[in-house]
Amino acid sequence: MEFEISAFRGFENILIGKKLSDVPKIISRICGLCHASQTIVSCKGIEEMYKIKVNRQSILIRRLLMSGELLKSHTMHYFFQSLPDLLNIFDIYKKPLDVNDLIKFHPQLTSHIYDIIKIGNDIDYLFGGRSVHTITPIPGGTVYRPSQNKKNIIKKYFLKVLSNLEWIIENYIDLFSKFNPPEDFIIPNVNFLSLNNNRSYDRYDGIITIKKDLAKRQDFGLEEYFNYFDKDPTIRGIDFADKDHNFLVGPISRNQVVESYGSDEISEYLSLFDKKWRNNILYAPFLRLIEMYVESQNSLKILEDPILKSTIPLPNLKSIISREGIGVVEAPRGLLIHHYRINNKNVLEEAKLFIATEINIPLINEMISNYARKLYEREDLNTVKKEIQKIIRAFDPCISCATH
Amino acid sequence: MDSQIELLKEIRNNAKKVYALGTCAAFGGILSLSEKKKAGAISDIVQIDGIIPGCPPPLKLIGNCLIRLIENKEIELSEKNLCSSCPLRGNNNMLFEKQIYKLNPSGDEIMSLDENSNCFLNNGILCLGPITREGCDYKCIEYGIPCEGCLGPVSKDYTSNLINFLSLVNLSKDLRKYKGIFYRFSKPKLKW
Ligand code: SF4
Ligand code: SF4
Repeated sequence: MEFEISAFRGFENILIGKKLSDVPKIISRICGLCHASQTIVSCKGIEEMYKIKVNRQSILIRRLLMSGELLKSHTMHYFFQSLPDLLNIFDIYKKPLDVNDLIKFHPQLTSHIYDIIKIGNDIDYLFGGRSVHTITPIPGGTVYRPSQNKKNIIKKYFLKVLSNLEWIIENYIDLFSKFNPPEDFIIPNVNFLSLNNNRSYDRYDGIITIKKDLAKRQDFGLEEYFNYFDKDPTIRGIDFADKDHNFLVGPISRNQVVESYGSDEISEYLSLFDKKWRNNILYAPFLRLIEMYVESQNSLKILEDPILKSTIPLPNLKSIISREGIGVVEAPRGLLIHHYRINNKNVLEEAKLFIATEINIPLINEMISNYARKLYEREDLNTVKKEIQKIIRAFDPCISCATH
Repeated sequence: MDSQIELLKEIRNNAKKVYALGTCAAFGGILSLSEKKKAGAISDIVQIDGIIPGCPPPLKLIGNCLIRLIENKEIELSEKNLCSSCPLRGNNNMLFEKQIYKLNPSGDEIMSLDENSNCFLNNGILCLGPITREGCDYKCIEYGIPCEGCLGPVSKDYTSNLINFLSLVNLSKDLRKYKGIFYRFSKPKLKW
């Protein structure tokens, strides 16, 4: 049994011959869920070529855009994909839930969830110009004309998200923390791969860490990534130096690599789940809630930063210093790297895009084949198919991104 | 791909109305940039009852279209171009041939909208407003970025509109050779 994404859109090819200022606009269209991450990582890659230091205001706005995107992406996944499976797996709700059951399951939860999705959208609308395919991040900075009014609205939004999340997280803990996580969902020995800033949670800045066998860690700078993985953009798939263990990116890897989320409430919430959960893929839904909480807290701090008030001109990108540029961020689904190279006419000659779901696919396949093999002994094919889908959904694969 | 086409046909057979939501469904979308991939409008394959264009379709446009559909009315899109409502239009005089040498303004050129702001075309920056349908509340322009045409063409005869437009602007040699400006969201067609 294999999870395969059959379509392939060829974005790496489309980008060839394109001017640098055009690349982020085109690349945004890879995905309607993580469009902000795609646009921002693309700008970062290009800024490397100009060796531009982006001003702090622009970076803070980018962080807000990424948090808005995370709220929407994580909430939708949690509610529509994870929750029905969790209720089913832990026998809280015996029959599989369809969307109607789900909406009626707990009306207050439904309304809390819809609030967060809408707010995530609105944040990107107000700071990005559009709620999808954000306009404002450009190579060199972020086009932003803040008004106090906008900031006040967004502040209220994040406060609302925090109070909704507290309720959702506490309910989640009541429902699930008493259980032992099921063995079939344990992640085998893998390389957890994530960006982090001095071992703190950070999706914009930092170094990359690989954590192996739950203990050993290897830190490296972005420019060394090809020692660990690489790709030929004309062929699908990523090549990993470690042939024996698959790689995992996303909330579980961030949790493994990061030592602090920078918030006491979070440490308390996390302590309510037994250690056994940490390397179980069913821990991811809880971590998604946690990440939304952390980022809403951080966003409130950003909104208080006086630098948002100043008018800072964006640089004129004139001379290219390096023909190659690499950008990195953590997208909601995990590590995202763009590596560009230009020719002597200053148009793109090669683009390598390392997309989270693409990194996770070999592990998804390892886990579902193990599980399927076990299930075949006692179940019919239909049940097997239904069951392994739970593993696939827990990874939150993005078909759109993976078919780049 | 084939299974997607089958699905589309099945939808057409079973649905009373079919609308293309978004520029990909309506015109082919960003994959039109691909030389290897086939990208096309769903109307190439099945008959449709209308389009709701945009990449992404503006929320207001989706909302207004939905309301019309609920009221059992057909979707109505504006037949005007983006310039007709653009706040920068004031200074735009399309009678002169404009020298265009840039696709995007650089950071220091990005202007905030005020009464002194000038149409991009007057500053030598390409803006597709003249050949793009209005309906987005000039979103990009509001942020100082020219229109890249994501709402698609105003009329079915895009190519003749485009030829008209190109006769009014004088593209630099570099831009004339650059691929994927005018057909970024749809592949050129001889017949519509
Ligand atoms: S060309 Fe662009 S900037 Fe000029 S009036 Fe039209 S939409 Fe506005
Ligand atoms: S200004 Fe042009 S590119 Fe921007 S949203 Fe409107 S139609 Fe799309």
